[in-house]
Amino acid sequence: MTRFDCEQLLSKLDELVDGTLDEANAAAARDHLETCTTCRAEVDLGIELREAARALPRSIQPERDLWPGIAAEIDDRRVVKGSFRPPTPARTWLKFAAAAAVLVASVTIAYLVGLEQARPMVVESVTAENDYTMAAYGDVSSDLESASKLLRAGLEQRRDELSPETWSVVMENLSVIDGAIDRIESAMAKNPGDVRLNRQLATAYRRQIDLLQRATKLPAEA
Amino acid sequence: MTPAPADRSHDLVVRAVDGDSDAFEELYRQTVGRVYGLCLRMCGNASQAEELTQEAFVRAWQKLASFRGDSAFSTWMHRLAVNVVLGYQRSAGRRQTRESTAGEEWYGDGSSRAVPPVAAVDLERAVAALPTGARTIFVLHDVEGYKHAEIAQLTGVAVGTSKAQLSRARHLLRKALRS
Repeated sequence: MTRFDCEQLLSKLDELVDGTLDEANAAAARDHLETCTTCRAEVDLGIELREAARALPRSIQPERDLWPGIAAEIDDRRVVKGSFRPPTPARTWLKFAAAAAVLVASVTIAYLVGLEQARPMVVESVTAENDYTMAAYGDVSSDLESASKLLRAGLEQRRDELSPETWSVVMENLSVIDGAIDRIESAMAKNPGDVRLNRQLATAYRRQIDLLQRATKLPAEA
Repeated sequence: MTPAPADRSHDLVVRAVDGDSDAFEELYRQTVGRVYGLCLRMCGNASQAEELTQEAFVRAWQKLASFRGDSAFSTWMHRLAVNVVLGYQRSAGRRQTRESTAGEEWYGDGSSRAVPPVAAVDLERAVAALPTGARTIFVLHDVEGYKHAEIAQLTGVAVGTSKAQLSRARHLLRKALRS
């Protein structure tokens, strides 16, 4: 029978622990372990580790209710479906509608991009860093809200220059984003510490501003 | 007569596919512990695990129509959550940050969560401190019970790589638990 040295034994440790070692190698391992206390201890620890991992609870409840953030997001997605229209001859309002549909949809999907770009690297649930991050989101949302109001006032001044169809499309899409913002803010009132909701709010305001900027640059029609 | 759990879940899925968010919330309540536990162990970071859990359920809502009922909803949801975490881990530039913070915040201050036995706490901390690749394979294989072939399919790595990462993880864990 082949005899294992320590190096050979340790190279087969995982298979030994998992019970997947073929009989010839298993016999050689057993033979080595009868005389080597160092390897015996390593195998015992390996088995203990494996059993401890198996015994870990599979279910762990999060420290806070995550449902409000999920609910806000799936509600937004439902609204977006209704914002798309059937194709009709291309006019100013239609071109705008196409761009707006993308922006309105992006209110709800932008967080996916945000995961790569805007998400804070480390966000604790109840720490000082979290307070800082939440405060930062709050500042950003407040600034964006102010910018949005200014742009909206500017757009209002151009109302007579735009056709009723274009105006209607602009207002309808702004209304969809307003609805999304209302729902996010409502969810945030119940869960002020939810970073995801704060990020969604900032994203929604950014998209609203983008939409308003496009609307204010539309060529005069009337 | 009260319906069997599987029938109950099926009923909830059917209602959720029709847009019933109350039904989907009940599915969430039934499975969130398993999903969050998986996310927490795979990413080693509590706040990140919360976000990934939320993302997994949002994605489940979008994909519900593709759930054919071949397996239990909880199994389907679990697999979907694995993919969400793996997708996150593939994102460039994140691994280093996670590894530098992993292991420090697994249990927070421990004030509001049931504290497992000491050995389990030690193990959880040691797992959270593993490098991302090794931690992922260890959690999927030794904790969640996936086979190497399944892990290879999920993660897109070769079976040999999965075995090597598991071996590395176990080696590092034995070392950590000895010290």
